[in-house]
Amino acid sequence: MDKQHYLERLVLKLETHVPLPSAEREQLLELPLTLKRLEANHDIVREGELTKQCCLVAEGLVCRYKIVGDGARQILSLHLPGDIPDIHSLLIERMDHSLGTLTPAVVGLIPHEAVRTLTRASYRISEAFWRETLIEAAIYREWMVGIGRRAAPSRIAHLFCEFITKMTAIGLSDGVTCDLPLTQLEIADALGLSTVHMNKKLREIREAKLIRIRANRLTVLDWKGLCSLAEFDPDYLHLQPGAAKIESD
Amino acid sequence: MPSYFFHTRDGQKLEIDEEGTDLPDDQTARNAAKELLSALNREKLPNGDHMSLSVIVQNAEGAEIYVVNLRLDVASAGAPAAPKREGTR
Repeated sequence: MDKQHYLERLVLKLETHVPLPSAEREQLLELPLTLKRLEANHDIVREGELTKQCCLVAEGLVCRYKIVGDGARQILSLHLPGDIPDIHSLLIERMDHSLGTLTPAVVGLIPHEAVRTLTRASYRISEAFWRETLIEAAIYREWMVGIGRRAAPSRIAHLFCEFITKMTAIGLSDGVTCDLPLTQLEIADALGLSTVHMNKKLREIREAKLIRIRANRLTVLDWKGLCSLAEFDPDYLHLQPGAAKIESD
Repeated sequence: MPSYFFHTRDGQKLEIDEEGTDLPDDQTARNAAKELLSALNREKLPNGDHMSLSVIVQNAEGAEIYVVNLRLDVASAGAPAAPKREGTR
């Protein structure tokens, strides 16, 4: 795959939230990109580091995380192809969390200077990136509610609903099935659950015939039931009406 | 990694863990059982004023290696809580 293809993923992602005029689209497609192929569980940038570039997820799954005192990991967010999870580093250069791969991944590094030039030249691109960070904040709010207040089965179901909805919006799922290259430990780390607890509750969700997970693929068997358990309302993802949304039958 | 099974008991209701979880050793399983119990406790509250939860850890050979119990009794201050008798497992 070439750089152009990966930049198109960036444009596609931005356009799940707001359409861009063709001039802006062209400018984004011309961003300089240095591709890097990374193994799973590889740090892209660590907490405390200063960075002069942003990282576009081109392939694979990337997460933000923090390690607490006793070595436990909290996964803060999951990032799919087309995301620039450290776009904020343009304005806040010192990382207050780490960014790393969960699966083998390809990332495209873009110098801050190039993004800065672009955002200064086009207010629409500025706004598009600003909007991305605002929607990310909305996702954090949803996760905060989940970790703070939702029971484990609801929390797990919510992660599946959000994941497949985001995958569908960027064209990587048909709304019924998608790759879910996460281990149970990683899901537990994202939800603030212990692995054993997570295993037990995941089993209940599977036994209730809401989903099926086989060979790292998630299949939704009962979308309405899953959403109801999760109390999932996709409004906080602020997807364009055009961006594929999952319809319940 | 050896498998451990974490059966749970809520009052008289026993739930058998048929799939198990792979963990490095008994000590990790022991800690996992305590963690699970405290999470289940938080999840089950506040259904009533009495609760008795247990996690029973069984190893891959079928031997029960740990039992972790948690009891909750709520009573009005002044009237001492009458312990609710449970049958022994």
